[in-house]
Amino acid sequence: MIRVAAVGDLHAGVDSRGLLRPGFERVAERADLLLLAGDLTRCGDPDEARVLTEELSDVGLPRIAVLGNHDYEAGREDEVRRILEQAGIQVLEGESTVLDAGGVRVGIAGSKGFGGGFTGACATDFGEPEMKAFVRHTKKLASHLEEALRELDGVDVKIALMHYAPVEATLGSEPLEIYPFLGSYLLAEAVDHGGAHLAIHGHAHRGAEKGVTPGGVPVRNVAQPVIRHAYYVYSFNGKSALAATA
Amino acid sequence: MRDQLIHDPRLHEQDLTVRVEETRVTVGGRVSTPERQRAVTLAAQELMPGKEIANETVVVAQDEPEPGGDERMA
Ligand SMILES: [Fe+2]
Ligand SMILES: [Fe+2]
Repeated sequence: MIRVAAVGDLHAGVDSRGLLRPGFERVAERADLLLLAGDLTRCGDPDEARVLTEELSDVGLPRIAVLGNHDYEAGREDEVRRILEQAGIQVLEGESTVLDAGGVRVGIAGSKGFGGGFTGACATDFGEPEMKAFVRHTKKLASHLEEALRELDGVDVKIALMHYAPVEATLGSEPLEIYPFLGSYLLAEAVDHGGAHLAIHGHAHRGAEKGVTPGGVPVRNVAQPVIRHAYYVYSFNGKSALAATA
Repeated sequence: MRDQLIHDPRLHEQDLTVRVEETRVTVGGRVSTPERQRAVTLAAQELMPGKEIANETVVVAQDEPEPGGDERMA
C-alpha cells in the first residue's frame, strides 16, 4: 500500500508563517510522500519560498513539487527552485524520481505544464511568433513530461504531477473563456502515452476535484481552494496498480 | 456579492459568508492569511461603495483530512 498526499496552490506569502504548518502535523502518519502541485508562492518571491520551506521543514516525509505560474511571476524561478531544493523539496520539470515506500516503488514525473486549451477549442502552432511560442512551450513541456513518465517503466505506481490541467473535467466552474490559460489536452496525451496511473494538478482554483483522461487515467485537481483541506490522500494497493493496466 | 468576493483574485477564499444590510455589509468565515483578511475589507468596499464593512473573518490554517478519508485508486 502506498499513500500519496497532494496539494497545490498553497500560495505562501511572507504572512503565511505559522499558518501552513498546523495543516501538515499528521501528514507523515497518513501518507508516504507529499506532492506539491505548483503555485507554492504568491508571487515567486524568494522570501515567500523560504516561508514555505520553513512551514514544511519537519513534516517527516519526502516532498516532491512542480512550480506553478505564480512561482514564475517575479522572474526568479531558478532561485525559488534552489531554495526549495536546499530545503529538501525535490522540484521536477520534465524530470522524474522514484521512491520506495514499504516495498512499493512509486515513480513521479513532473512538469509545470502550460495552457493552450482542449480538443475542439485549442490554440494552434500557426500565425504570429507569439502564438507559436505559446503553443510550442506547451508542446515542449508535454513531450518532456511524456518522456519522464516513460523513463519510469518498471515502477509499481506511476504519477504525473503538473500545475496546469490536462483535462476540462477538473475545471469545474472556471469561466469557459479562460480554459486555454488553464491547461492543455497535450498534457492528457502525455499522461496517457506515458502510462501514468494518476495525474495530479492544481491551478484551477474554481475547478472540480475529479476527472479522467481520454485514456482512462484518473485526474485529481488538488488546488487548495478546491479540496478545502491542507491536502488529500490517494492510496494504491501497490503492485495491483500495474496489474490493473497490464 | 459572495460569489464576487470568493472569486476575487486577491482572496481566492471559499469559506466566506456575506450579510448585506441597509448601511452595513458583514463578511464572515475563514481566510488563510492576515493579508487576505485585510483584502476582504478592500474588496468588499469596492463591491459595495458607501457601506460600512464589518470584517468578521478569522485567520485559520486549513484542516487536515479525516483519518481514513483516503481515496483508493487501485
Ligand atoms: Fe494558484
Ligand atoms: Fe496557477
